[in-house]
Amino acid sequence: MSSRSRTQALIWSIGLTVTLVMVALGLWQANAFQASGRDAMVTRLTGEPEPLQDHLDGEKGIQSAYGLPVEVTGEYTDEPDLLAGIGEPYRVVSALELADGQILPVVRGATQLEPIPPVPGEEVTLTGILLPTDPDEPAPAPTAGVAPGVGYTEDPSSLPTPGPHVQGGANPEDLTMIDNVRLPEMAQIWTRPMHAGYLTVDASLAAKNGLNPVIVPVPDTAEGQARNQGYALQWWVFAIVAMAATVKLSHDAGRGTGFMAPRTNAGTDNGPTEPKSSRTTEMEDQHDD
Amino acid sequence: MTEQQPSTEPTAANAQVEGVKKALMFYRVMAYIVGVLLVLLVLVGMPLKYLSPDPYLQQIGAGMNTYLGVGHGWLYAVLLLSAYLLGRRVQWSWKWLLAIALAGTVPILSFVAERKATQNVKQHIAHLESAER
Repeated sequence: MSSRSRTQALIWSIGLTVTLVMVALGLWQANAFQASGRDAMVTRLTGEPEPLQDHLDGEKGIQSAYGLPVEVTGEYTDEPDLLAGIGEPYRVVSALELADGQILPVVRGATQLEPIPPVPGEEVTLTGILLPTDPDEPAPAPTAGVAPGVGYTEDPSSLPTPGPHVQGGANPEDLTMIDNVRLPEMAQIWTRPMHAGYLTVDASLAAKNGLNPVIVPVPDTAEGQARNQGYALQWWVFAIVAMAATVKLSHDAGRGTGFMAPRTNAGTDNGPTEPKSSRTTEMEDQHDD
Repeated sequence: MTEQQPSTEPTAANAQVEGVKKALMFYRVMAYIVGVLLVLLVLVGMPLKYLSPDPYLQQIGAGMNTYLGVGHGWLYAVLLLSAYLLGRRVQWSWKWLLAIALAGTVPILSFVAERKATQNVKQHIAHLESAER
C-alpha cells in the first residue's frame, strides 16, 4: 500500500468514526425523554388512578407508575413532617407506611407557614400523582401544571380552597425545611426504608385537610423539546461537515495537493510558499513572446 | 507597451490578494463572535447556573446557557467554514484547520488562535503584494 493510500485509509477511518459518533449524538438528543410532547404528559398525569400496589408488584416496580395518578393505602408514621420549598407556599411532606413496611413520602398539600394540620391517625386511602424525585435545582412553586385529580390549570386560584383549620398539628418553626422533595436527601432524614417515588395528593384531599392544593409541573415543555431537536440538528450538520472534510482531505491526500500537500504554508519562520501570482505572471510573459 | 501600475491594474494577482483579505476578514469576524460567545457561556453563564446560591440568578444562568449555547453551535459551524475558505486561499495544511477547530472550543484559546492565524495570513499577503512589484 503506498503511503498516500495509507493516509487516505487513515483519513477515512477517523472521518467515518467521527461522523458516526456525531450521528449517534444527534439521535440521542432527538430521542431524549424530554422529546415527548406536553399533551402526552398531561394525558398521562390526568388519567384514572390505578392502585400503586399493582405497579409495585409488577416487573418494573414503582418506575412504571411515575407520572401516573395512583391510589395508595397506608398509615402515617410518627416521623416528623418536612417542609419543602424555597419560598411560600411550602409543601408539607409526611411519611406514609405502606403494607410492605416501606415509607412513601406524601405531599399532603402546601402551607403559608401556619400551624400544620396533623396526620390522620387511622389507615387512609389516598389518590394523587406519583413522581420519582424532584430535580436537583429547586424552583419556585409552579403556577401552571396539573392539579392532581383536577387537571391542567394555569390558574391556581381556581382550585379548591383549604377547608376549616384542623388543630393539633406541629408548628412550622419546629419542622425541618428542605429545598425540594429530593428522595436521597429525605432518606437521610427519615432513615426508614423508602420507596423510590413520592405522592402528591389530589387537590380536593389537600383542601379537605386544611392545606392548599399543590400543582405538579408538567415535566417538559415544547420549548425543551424544540431545544433538544435543535441540538440534534446541529449534531447532524456537524456530521455532514465531518463527511465533507473526510472526502476533501482524502481527495487531497490522493493527489498530494491542497490541505494535504507535503510542503504548505504551515506558518513557520520560513514564511509562505511561493505565491501563485508570480508563477502566473511568468506564464503570461512566456505567452507574450 | 505602456507602463502599468500594479496596484490599480486588475490583474489576477490583485484579485487574489483581495480574495485573501476578504476571507481573512470573514474568518476574523467569526472568530471574535464565537470567542466572545464562548467566554460568556463558560465564564458567566455556567457559574451563574451552577455556582450561584440565588435561584433567580441560577435561572438567568440557565436562560443564558440555552440561548448562547444554541447560537454558539451554529456560529461555530460558520467559523469552520470561514477557516476553510481562508485556508484554501493561503495554502494552509490540515493541521492549521484542526488547530483552529479545536481552539474554537476552549474559551480564551480561540483568541490566541485567531491572533496566530491573522499574523500568518498577513505575512502571506505581504509576500503576495511584494511579489507583484
